[in-house]
Amino acid sequence: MLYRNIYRGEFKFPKWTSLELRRFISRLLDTNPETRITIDEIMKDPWFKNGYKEVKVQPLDFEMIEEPQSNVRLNAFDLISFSSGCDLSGLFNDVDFFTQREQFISAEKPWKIIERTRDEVDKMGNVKVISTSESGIRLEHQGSNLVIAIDIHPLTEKLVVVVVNRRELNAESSDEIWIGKLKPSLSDLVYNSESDIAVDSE
Amino acid sequence: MQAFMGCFCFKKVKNKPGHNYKDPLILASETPFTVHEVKALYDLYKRLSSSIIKDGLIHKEEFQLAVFRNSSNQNLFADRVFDSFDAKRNGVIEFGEFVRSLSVFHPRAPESDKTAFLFRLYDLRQTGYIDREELKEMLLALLGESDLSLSNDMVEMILEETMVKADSKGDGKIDEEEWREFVKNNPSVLKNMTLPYLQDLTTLTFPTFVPNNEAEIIGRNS
Repeated sequence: MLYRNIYRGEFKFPKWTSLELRRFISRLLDTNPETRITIDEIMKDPWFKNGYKEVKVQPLDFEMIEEPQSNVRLNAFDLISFSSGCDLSGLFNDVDFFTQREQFISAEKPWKIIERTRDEVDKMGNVKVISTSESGIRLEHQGSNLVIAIDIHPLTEKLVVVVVNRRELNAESSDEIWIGKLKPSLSDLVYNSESDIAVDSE
Repeated sequence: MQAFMGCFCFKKVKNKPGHNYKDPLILASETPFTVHEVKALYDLYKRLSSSIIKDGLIHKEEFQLAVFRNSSNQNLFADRVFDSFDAKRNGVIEFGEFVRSLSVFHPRAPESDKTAFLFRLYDLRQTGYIDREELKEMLLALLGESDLSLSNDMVEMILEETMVKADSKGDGKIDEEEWREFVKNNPSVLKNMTLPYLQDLTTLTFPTFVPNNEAEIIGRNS
């Protein structure tokens, strides 16, 4: 029933809709793709323009900036600055986008972590690698606006800190992709300090 | 509050304590913000200051809600940031304090201001030095709050390496001069001190802060 209405372009407006809104919706639901409203026309539509505010997406955090210090080890103050309490960008997070960061320590070499990520992404199919470098990788989910940025920083001779940033339209796709698939596939690369202590004391 | 925000002329108003301190023209002249940006910040301030206690002032829980999306999330660093913003030390952040403190995070704010702000933040006991104990306390707090696990030996090693780099006089504590030198050589330490969003204030849509056990962002400003 619903599909028949969609196909025929048959719909009813609720009583509370204004004339301008009705016109706008009719242009959107035009069954003829030749005459249907285009994105440019949407931007010019009077109902749409009323109260419209352009939202700027902040790509800065996720640009692969080649840091000249990417070989320098993190010091204690760098680690401290990972605290979410020091990060005030939460005050300005865009309503549309939701950003989250987590980090873990690994005793693996960066290339191995990046390779493992690539392997998992290949298996997933709907996630693409946007860019890679020696110390990081950027992923994008086709269906949503999810972007995952993984950066690897040296901590000690043997250890690195892996920082994972996610930016998404809603939490669902990222939870499924990161928490459901990618994170578990990297879990054996996470450093376990207890096993190290056992080795040292021998 | 509404009346004076809409007026950009100098009007004789009742002598409210700290009124001039909040005047958008004065705030704009003393910070990298334009008057329009100060107005946009006022919009943000209104939301923050009425999210839990509707008194037009930002309380600690409202600050926590804004930064963590969770008003009961206790955090050493958020406490320190809150105290740094609360210049008058009266337990709340007023609008003037809000704007002046945020101005340090502006991309165009001088690096020396950011460096000084961070020093005061990390000087937990306000002694004028960041000593080894305070650094250790902060590092352990960070490890506790995130999923990072490090053995005690590792922690000591990282502390030691950092102190060697920062404490050039070798007295077990970092004074402001040593700190400035350390920051010059390790600029990554300042990364949280710049919020690029502050340049785009007039185009941003601010979230509405809703107190919930699992607070989520809903709504748009209209």
